[in-house]
Formats: sequence, C-alpha cells, structure tokens
Amino acid sequence: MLVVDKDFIERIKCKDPRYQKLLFETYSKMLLTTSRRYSPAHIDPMDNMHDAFIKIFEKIELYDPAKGDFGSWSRRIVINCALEKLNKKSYSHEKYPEVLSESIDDFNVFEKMKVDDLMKIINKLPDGYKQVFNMYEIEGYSHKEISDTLGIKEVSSRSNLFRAKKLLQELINNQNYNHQWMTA
Amino acid sequence: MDDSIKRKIIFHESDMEIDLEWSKLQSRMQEKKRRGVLFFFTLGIITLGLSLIGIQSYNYFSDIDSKSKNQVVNNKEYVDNATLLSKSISPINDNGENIADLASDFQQINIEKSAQDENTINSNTLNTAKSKNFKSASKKSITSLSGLVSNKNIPHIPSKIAFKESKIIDGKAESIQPEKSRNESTSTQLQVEEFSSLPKKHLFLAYTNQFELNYDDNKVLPISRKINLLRGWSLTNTTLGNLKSNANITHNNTNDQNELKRNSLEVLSTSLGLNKTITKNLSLNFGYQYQRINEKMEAKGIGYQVKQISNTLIATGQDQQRIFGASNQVREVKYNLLSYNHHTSNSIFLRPNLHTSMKGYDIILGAKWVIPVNFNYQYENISIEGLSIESSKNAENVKIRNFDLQINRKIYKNLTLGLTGEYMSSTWNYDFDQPSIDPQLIMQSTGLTKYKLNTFLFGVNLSYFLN
Repeated sequence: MLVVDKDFIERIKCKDPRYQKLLFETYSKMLLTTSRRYSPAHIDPMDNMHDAFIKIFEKIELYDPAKGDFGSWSRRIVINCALEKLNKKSYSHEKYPEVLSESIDDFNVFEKMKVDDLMKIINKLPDGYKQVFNMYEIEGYSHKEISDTLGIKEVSSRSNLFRAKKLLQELINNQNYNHQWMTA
Repeated sequence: MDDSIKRKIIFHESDMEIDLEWSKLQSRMQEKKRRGVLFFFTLGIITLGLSLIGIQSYNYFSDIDSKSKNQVVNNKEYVDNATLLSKSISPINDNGENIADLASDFQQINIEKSAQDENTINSNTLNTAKSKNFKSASKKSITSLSGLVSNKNIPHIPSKIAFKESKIIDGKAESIQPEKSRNESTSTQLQVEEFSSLPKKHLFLAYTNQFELNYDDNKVLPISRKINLLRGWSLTNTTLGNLKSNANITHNNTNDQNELKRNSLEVLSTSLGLNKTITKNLSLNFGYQYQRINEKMEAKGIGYQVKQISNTLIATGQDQQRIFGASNQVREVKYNLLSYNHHTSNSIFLRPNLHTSMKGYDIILGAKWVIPVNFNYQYENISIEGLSIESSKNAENVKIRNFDLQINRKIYKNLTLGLTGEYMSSTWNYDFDQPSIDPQLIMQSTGLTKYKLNTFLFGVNLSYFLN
C-alpha cells in the first residue's frame, strides 16, 4: 500500500506528475466507488472524482498524516465535492413523518448480497435519500453531523434516512421477486 | 448495518481504465490552469475598468463645477462695477451736507493703513450689518454673515448677476452713535439714529437657475456592484446617493446667521473595496471611499455700502466690523446672496458585515468605520457686484459613521440583485479665524462652523459570481 508521508506530500505540492499519477493509480478506484455513492443523479461520478483529485492536489498540504490515513481524508474530499453539487431541493421532507415510528432495523438482507449488487441498489435511491443513507449507515455520521454538513434540519436527515431504508427494502423485495420469477 | 458490509462498500474498487482517466484528468488540470490565467486577466481588466469609472465619476463632478463657473464668466449680461455704480449711486441730495456735519461729530479714529488709501480701496466698499432694522432700530449689533474671505488673492470672477431693481429712496438720514467707546468695540452695540436722505439701493439677485448644481440623476447611477472572486474574496464598487436630498444638515456657526438658509443639498458617496468572507455569517470589507456633499446656501439681509471711504467711523459692532465713511457716502443695501459649498472627503474604510438568510433573501448588516485622509471645503460666494469668490479650507475633527442594510436575492445562477440603504452620520468643523478686510459684500465670520449631517443614501445591489 502506498504511504503518503511528508516527503510524498512535498512531491505532490511541487506538482510532480509522476507522484500525482501514482496517487491517482492507488486511490482512484476506491474514490470512484465513493463518488458513485454520493454523486447526484445529474453529475457524472467520474467527473466528480476528477474534481476531487484536482482539489486533493491543490490542498495536499492540509493533509496531516498524524491525524488519519490518506484514504479517509481523500474520501471525505470526494464526498464534499459531490455534496456541493447536490441541489438543496433534494431534501424536501422537512416534516417528521408519522410512519417513522415503524423503525426499520432489519438490514440483514444486505449480507446475502454481493457488494456490486448492493451498490447498484443504493445508487438507485433518489438524491437526498442516497447521500443521507450513505453518510449515516456507511460512514457513521450522526444526524447532527449530517444536518451540519448538508445544511438541513436534523429532522429532515432522519426523515430522509427512514424513507431511504423503506425504499431500499422495496427495491430489494422487487429484485428478489423478479429474480424468483425469472428463475421459476 | 454490519461493519464488514460497511468496509466492503467503502473499500470496494470500481473498474476503470486508469491511464485513460489519468489523461482526462491531466487535460482538465491544464484547462483549469488556462482558465485561471484568463480569470486573473479578466480581473485585471475589471479592476482597471472600475478604477476608470471612479476617475471618470470624479472628473464628471469636477466638470459640473467648472461648467457652472464658466456660466458665470461667459455671461454676456455681466455688468461691471463702474456700470453698477453709475446706475446705482445717486447724486448726493441737498441734505448731504448736513449729514456730513453729523458724521463729522462722530468719533474720529485712525483707520488701518490699507483703508486710508482711497485708491486702494474700491469705492464700492461695502460692509455688512446684521440687523434688518438697522436704519431705525437702536441697540442692534452689527454682525457678519457666515463664510470667509481669507485670501486677498482670491479669484474674482464676474458673473451675470444684474440688478433686478435699483432705486433710490429719499429719506431721513440716520445718525449712528456708538454706545460705548471704540476700545470696547468687541462688545459695542450700535445705536442708530437717523441719517437724513441716505440713498438706498435695493438689490436682488435675479438668477435662480443658472447656478443650480444640476447633478443629473440619470448620469449618477446609485448602484453597488460586487464581483465574487476566488476563495471568499470579492471586489466591491459602491455608488450611493441622495441627490435631491431631504437630508438634514445642521450648520452651527458661532456667529449668528442673518437669514441663512439652505436651498439644496446633495450627497454622494462612492467607494472601491475588497471583501473577504471570514465565516458563513461574517465578512470584512475594506477600501477607499470618496464622498461629496454639495449645498447651496442663500443669505438675505441688509448691509451698507460705502461709496467713498473716509476716516469717519459710521458704525462698529460686536465682531469689530466697522463702517468708515462720510454718512452721505453710505447707503443701505438689501442683499440676497448665494453661496455654493462643496465638502469633499477621501477616506479609507473598514466594514464588518453580518450575513443571514430569511425566506430566500440574503440580509447583510454592516457598520462602516471611516478614517478620513482629507476633508476639504470649497466654497463660492456670489457678491452683489456679481463677483464669484472662491476659496477652500480643510475641515477638522471629522467623524463619519455609516450603517447599512442590504437585502439581496439570487435571480440567476451567478447573479444576485438587491437594495441597499445606508445611514450616514457625520460631523466636521471649519475654523474661521481670519478676519476679512475684503471690500466685497461677502459673507464673513470669525469663529467655528460646525456641521452635522444625517442622511440616508440608497442604491441597487448587483452581485456577480465569477466562480
């Protein structure tokens, strides 16, 4: 695994293309996955990843190896790049839905799925739902952090998460139904 | 969700052609670099343009001043002093001799050297008196009007002013008896008795429009422009005005004004600055500010004109003004004088702005700290002889405070439109400490003139986001 240490950072700061390419080769595939999970529907995840890499090259001096690994830091930049492009109208559910009391905790169904399939299903979520779901369920953000990051109310974050989960269940059920129907 | 699934998702690597994407990324970086160069080039052009606008605005206002002065100079209706005198001074009537006798009884004094030489002092020497009832009233003090002639080399520009009415009224002469001795002249009040047959001249300045300041509202666009640059920096150019102003300006002179009133007042403020966004709710604006206040003042009153000066003291007053001359050479003059004052200041400013949003509107509240670099007062008095007298002075103790409120709304992807209201409160002083012996009927004072201006300025905001 590539070690991004101070020397490496200096090389990137000097805009050495060999080191830039090395960084790109090492992290681009992982960051493309992240970009796909967060990019709004109207944005090409590849373009978003390119934007993120340009930012990474420009802001590399802000990365402190002592505070965490480079993968997490660069992933955060990809996420922020994607969220900047997200239209605020995507978070339209300001009111706390009454059905929220029916909590959805059973996500064991994911364990039986391949990661690619799982990603595909998550990416089918509409903008607003997808980002909140990813931030809360996968990155481990709290609703407070999500509301601060996205500039929405906390209640909207909860609402979107609830709807995202419900929609995912429906998508998975439909997929299972279709699969059973096709294999029957 | 189970952690292992999370890790699988996070570290999942998507398929991609690395070399192809790398070359795409490189070309994008090249394009960004090219756009950066173009951006700074554009920024340079815009900065240059805004500076030119500022310079042109400055020249525009200067040009207006010179235009109005040219109107004065080039007017064909100019009536020179000799003509005026020939029209206005009447022969001394039969009672003149008696008047001279009366005048000879008055206290004889030594006149200043300059006043002694009749050749050096024009025959139309005229001194002003405060009291409208100077002719008949007793114990009325002579005081001066506001303003100052501080320089003997002041340019005297002939104007088109002509007498609307010039007539002589025969009447009883008045004798003027100083109540106290000359040594106590600073506190002496006049006691006016009657002269016999004092020739009177009623002068009215005929113009009203020629000296209007004529600021064209259409040419002065009160607009605030803001171009948002990179990394929270933006360039601001603001021109706010209150051209047909209802602004309140308080003018306090240590000497009483003799029916001094303000006919018009115009306030204009323009600035060029840089704005830096500090946090989401705070930004800092700093730069250069030019401010101009124009006022047209009108003074009415009654003064005295001395045709031929002599060493006879006719009257003296609180401010040591003295009228010297034989009483049959003195006549009363009603006057109506205009003065044009331009207060200009160059300042640097620092303004913290608080930002908030409400129902799609961005609300910005700012308080401007203004540090004046210079504050100048140019004034132009029009005398009854039709002369324009200009001079200038630097202000002291200048304090300027501005508070502004902006309400903006995004109307297009990169464009924001809104309104600005700015409250300006400023105070400044002019120290008039040079007594005048200028022979013109002009406003004269000694002491301190204090100005206090409170006004609201308005403008339109236009913000453009380059990035």
